[in-house]
Amino acid sequence: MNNKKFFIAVFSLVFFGQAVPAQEQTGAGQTAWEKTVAEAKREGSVVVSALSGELLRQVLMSFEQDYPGIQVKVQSGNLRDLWPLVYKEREMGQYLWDVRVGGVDASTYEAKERGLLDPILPVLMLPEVLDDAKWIGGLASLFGDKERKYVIHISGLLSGDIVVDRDAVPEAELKSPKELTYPKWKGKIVMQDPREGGSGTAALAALIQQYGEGFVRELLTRQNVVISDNRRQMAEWVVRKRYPIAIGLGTAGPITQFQKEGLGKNIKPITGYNTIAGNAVILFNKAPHPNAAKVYINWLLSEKTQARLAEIAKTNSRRTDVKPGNPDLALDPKRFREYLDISDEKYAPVKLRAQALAKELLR
Amino acid sequence: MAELTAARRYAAFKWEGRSLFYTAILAILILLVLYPLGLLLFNSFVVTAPGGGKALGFGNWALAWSQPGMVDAIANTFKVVLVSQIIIFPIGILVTWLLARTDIPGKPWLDFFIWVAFFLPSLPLLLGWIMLLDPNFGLLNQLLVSVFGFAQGPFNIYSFWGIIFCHVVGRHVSAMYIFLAPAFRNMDSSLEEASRVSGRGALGTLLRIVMPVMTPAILVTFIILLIHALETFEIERVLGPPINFYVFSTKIYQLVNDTEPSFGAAMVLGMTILLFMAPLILFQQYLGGKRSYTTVTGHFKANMTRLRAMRVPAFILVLGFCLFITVLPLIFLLMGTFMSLFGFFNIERVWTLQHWQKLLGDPILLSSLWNTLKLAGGTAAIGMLFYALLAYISVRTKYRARGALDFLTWIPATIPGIILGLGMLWMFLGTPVFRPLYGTVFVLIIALLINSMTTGVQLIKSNMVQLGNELEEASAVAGGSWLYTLRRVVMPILAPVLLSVGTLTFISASRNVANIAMLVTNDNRPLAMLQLDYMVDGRSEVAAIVGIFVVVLTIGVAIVARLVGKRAGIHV
Repeated sequence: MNNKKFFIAVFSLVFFGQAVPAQEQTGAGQTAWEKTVAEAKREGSVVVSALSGELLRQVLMSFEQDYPGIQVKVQSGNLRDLWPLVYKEREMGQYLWDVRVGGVDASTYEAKERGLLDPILPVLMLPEVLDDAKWIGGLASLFGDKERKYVIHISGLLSGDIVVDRDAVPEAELKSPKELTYPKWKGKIVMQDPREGGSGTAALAALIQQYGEGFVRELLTRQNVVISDNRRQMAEWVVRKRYPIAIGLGTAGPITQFQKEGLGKNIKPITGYNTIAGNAVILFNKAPHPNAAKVYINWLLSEKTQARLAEIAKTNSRRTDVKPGNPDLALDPKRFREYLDISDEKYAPVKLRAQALAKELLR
Repeated sequence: MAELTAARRYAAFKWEGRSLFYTAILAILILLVLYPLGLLLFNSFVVTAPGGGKALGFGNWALAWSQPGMVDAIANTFKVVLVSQIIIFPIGILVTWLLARTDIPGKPWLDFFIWVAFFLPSLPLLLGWIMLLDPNFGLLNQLLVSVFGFAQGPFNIYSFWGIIFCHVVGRHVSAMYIFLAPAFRNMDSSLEEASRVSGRGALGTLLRIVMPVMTPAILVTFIILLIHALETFEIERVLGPPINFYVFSTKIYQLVNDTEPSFGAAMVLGMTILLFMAPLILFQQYLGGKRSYTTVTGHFKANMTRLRAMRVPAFILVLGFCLFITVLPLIFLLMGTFMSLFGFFNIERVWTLQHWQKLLGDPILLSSLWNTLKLAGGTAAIGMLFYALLAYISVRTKYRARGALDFLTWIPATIPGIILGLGMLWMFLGTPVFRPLYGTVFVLIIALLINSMTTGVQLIKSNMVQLGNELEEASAVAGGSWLYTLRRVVMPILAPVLLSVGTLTFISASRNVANIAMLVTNDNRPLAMLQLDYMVDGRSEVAAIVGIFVVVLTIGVAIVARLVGKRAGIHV
């Protein structure tokens, strides 16, 4: 048994109490995979709940090209709408969902605690997915839940949650997020509404984690921070220098559209703030199409799909063999352990605290 | 004697049969409106106990009212509603009167402009006004600075008056026209003629004769617009943050958009709107029952007021207003879809076709279009019949529970869409008999029907109260069957309002996301969900094109409905 197989066996033994048969990763694995695909085709479809967004949807739908015969039913929506729906469906004995792809917040971990999820590691079958060396930080580092088996990240980029237009605010004047509470930045900051979850909450939680609650309190009460839930509007404000500092906007998404047209070229993430952001996959238990869900998850984590996600949705894969879609925000494998993964379950209480603070202090 | 008894028995049987039918309709309404709302209301008293279990309590009520900034939000709401309605209402009534009751030239075109103004998607238009009136980079401000040498542009759209301006040039005036025009057209002109013979001028006649006769329609329009103003905040959401200006509906939005949404607390705030509106609704019912507002009788005359020397100035005034609220925004809207970045003229590649190519190349565009047509078309068609039936029971029958039935039709407008959607979800999943329907288009149509119910029923109702019984009696005496009377007498009079309601329901159903967000599936995704996808990606330009598709679709449906109406001998 080589090192890779040994790791998988130990990993499975530690986290699932059972060893993955080694032959599944070799010749017999091929057969097991083919059997699963055949079963998936018999099931006919896979039902995917996904974060809203046309680019992500486009990639998620491309599964049908790679696996003709298995229809993907992608339903876009946010977690706010998903969980009340799923809870009610389950109360009524309806199990309609297979997979969710999107961001993770406290509600995801709550769903896990309430027993709605199945572990993902046992459904990973493709050798290229199980290969520890193919992942920045290793396969185990992809999991965000405390059990390290339910929530697996499919992308990861330096969140760059706080961005600054360096033409308006030179590096020398604002070097670190800690300086955001200086009086000279009063009325210059826009923030994605941190009460709604998402990157605004993540950024605030990271600030609490790094500088403490007092710092965030000062920021929200003294700096006349403008709150918006419209990322396009935020990006436009930064580009037009109306608010040259944006918290929770990031340099991906709308900012890239402006930069493509030659605007806001000097909008950069602030240094001294290395958090990771990205989308994750979860598997619903009692999934109506368990084999199709298995195939779908393996497909999502494969090199081909990850490269497609990087190319079309401009995400950065956690795979080492996929070129980042957004090189400016690529993770540095050597510094991986230094990053703060604020979406990890261990930080869920910090995020909740950030939201509570925002609700208390913002109007 | 025996014949008389038999006739009485037959009449009693017929009456009981009708009552049973009305009661069945009331039962359906209770099921569709009260049942899901009852579930939601009950849920507003369910709180999570410290141990994680559920208990009954007032936690949601306390949470709803302890939102930070609630007092300011309520004060801001009153300020915006009061000031904007003071400006909008006279303009709306004047425009409606000019187009519906006078000989102003170019009526069909002006009417078309106003309908188009109502169909235009609000967010791209708002971005257009920002492009003109932003204090720093607004084109109009820049022009004035360069021409007059001002130190800075005189306009600031990010202000209280900027918000009011956007409300006034938004769709409120066109909504008023659409709501009021059919009722204004059904007014007997002999009333105005009598006024003029008595020496009153055109304006005096409008104020002293037209408006009092139109009270039910005006009051219904006022209440609907008030509810709408209390619930929507698209303008405040974009223009409010820089000046820290939030309104009541922002608080509802924040509660449901939380990571752990507080649907119970949001429901409490929604109920507050209903309680606040209840006296007005009851007053409107009282007024409708107290006085007769019949204007369409056997003596009905539809002569127009002659504007004489004021004809051309009135035309210029209305045309100018129409161009301002329709053509100018349409230019923004279309221009925006061909710009690389909406509102940015200082880039290398200002104009592009890529947004159109992007959308037209989207593989789910066609299915989304088809789904929208099915959903909105189905909702509009069923809505016209169902709303007309409800209005008929409320206005033209002596059914005892008609007041309750009418009150029920007001409720959906006061409850935020996402909450109503949740109630529908609970109803369809929680009731075994409905469960097989879950996930089908039928559920979406019901959700959308309920959403448009208030506007639909009340509009038809305000027109029905104008209809005198003698027209139907005359037809019956002349040998016309009930169906013939309905087709040749009642329908031609009600057709314009039915078409208005159908079109309003269609556009509302095409745009609706909130009510169906929890009910939609991959198989029945409409255009509105596709638009949301593009908005989330920050591609406002592509999202605006989806908005244009909805407008074109609605105009197409309205034209087809008119043509079909004309072929059936109904002039609309």
